[in-house]
Amino acid sequence: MASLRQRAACIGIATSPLSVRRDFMGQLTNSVPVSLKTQLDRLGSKFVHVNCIQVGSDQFTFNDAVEIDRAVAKTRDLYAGAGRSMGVGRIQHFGISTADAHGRDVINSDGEAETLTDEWTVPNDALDLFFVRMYVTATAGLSRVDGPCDKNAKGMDGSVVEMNAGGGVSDFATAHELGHYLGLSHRNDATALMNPTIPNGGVITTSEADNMRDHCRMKNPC
Amino acid sequence: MSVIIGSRKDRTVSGAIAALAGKPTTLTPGAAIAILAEAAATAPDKVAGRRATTALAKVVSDHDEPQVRVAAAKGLGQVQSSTSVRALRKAADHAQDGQLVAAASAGLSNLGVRADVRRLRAASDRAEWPHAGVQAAASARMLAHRVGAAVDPADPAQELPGESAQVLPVTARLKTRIKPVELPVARKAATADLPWRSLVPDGAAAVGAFSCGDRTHVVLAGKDATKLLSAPGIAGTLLGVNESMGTTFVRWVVLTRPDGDGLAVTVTRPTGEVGFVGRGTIVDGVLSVTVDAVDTPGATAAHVTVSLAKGKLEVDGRTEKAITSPRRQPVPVPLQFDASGPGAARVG
Repeated sequence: MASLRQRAACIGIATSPLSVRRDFMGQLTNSVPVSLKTQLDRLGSKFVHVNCIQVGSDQFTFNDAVEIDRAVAKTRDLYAGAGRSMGVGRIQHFGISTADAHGRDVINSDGEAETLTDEWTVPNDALDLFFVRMYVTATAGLSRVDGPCDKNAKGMDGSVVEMNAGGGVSDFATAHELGHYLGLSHRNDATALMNPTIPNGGVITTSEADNMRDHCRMKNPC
Repeated sequence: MSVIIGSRKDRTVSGAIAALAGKPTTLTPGAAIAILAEAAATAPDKVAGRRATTALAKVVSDHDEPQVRVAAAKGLGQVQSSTSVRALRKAADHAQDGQLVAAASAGLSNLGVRADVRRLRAASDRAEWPHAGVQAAASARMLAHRVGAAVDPADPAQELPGESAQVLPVTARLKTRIKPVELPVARKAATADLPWRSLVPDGAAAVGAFSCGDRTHVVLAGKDATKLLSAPGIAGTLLGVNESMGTTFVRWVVLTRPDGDGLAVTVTRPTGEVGFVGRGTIVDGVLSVTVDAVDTPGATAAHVTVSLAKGKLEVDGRTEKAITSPRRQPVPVPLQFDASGPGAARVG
């Protein structure tokens, strides 16, 4: 099996100094159980890097950090359990202060979500995932379907998800919205991750997984 | 695409009120407020609508969580009723929380009357938090256009964010033609989303759509453009489409004010940030507008001319294929908390 340092180098993380939980696993807290061995194995499949962007970062609490950790862990589990396994590689955390967010920490229309992703990006090879404090519409997030990989191209190039500290919903929403970005559309099957209502069964079929694995954001196995 | 939160049983006015009172439901506060806002906005005179409005007003003033109060103010901004307007005016006038002032101000740009223009300008002057001041001023300006109140272009306090930014010329080798396309949704389904419905001109209808890069804009325009020559107004609204839900949402609002023998045109987000500026004319009932993109984060140079005659839309122009102005960059989050527990020891 590849070593931790080999895998870390493969996903673009500095290997010295290296905090396994914070740097390699991308966890903000020690509250969510994670397995290093499992993550090392999962990087043997195709994977996607994600930038977790806290919108209104100065309002985020410890419980919110735990919620983000759960969302990352759940997404990793659901993607690894797909009909064809996938991983989530490098997780990095970024923030937009409440002052800089210009009111978009609480979003009340899809237009505001689109504007948020139009204005902000992290210039790297990871998918931008914006965690807003609240998403006050009939839905809890927004993403393009089969989103672009060129961050200099026009158009919405990130996903937006509502934080829901303690509710356990943003973990499904995270996996669901990233699924959209990686090419998936809605499916009515109640067991499907791409069922429009969450929480749901979280299932990703083989054909859906193949679709996601072909996305330009997906990296080759380490 | 989007996801829906909550069981059918909970997605009611009673379920939403229960969720906001902290009772166990399947709704998030955001979903609960959206449910109340929709119930109140679509039927403000019915029992459920009145109950929803009252609940939202109570959340604005009493809820423990500041962000929930802000969200409720944004929800109330969709509800045309005396209760909602009163609650928003109170928040704009007296709230200590700058975010709440900003949200209430944006709501009043939808619901307010001519007298609220002055109220919002005063709220802008009073605001201590910079964004609250900016949002209140922008809301005053949006409201002025909605109700036809005077706008003084020489007063910097009445300028919208980005309105005097440099125009971006289309100079790149790779360009895309901006051209009319088929409506991506049924004509009747092309409506503004609730938060910004008031920013659509009276009697407006979908007159067509055009593509700009990989985006499609649905154009809603009012029936009578000639009145734009006499007072500040709103010529039209551009909608985007949520692909999964088939719903449309307000992306841009086309503001005009009389200027010489034509119109000064400013195209803004519904919250007031400017994306394009230019000029317009109305000759023999034909409205013609030419605008250029301005230098704001994530903007792409574009030069576009839109003409509207008897409900028929003509569009032509060019846009660069890649964004022209860099987007803003979030900052890396340092270790925010003592990772082992809720001591919340902020170290960065």
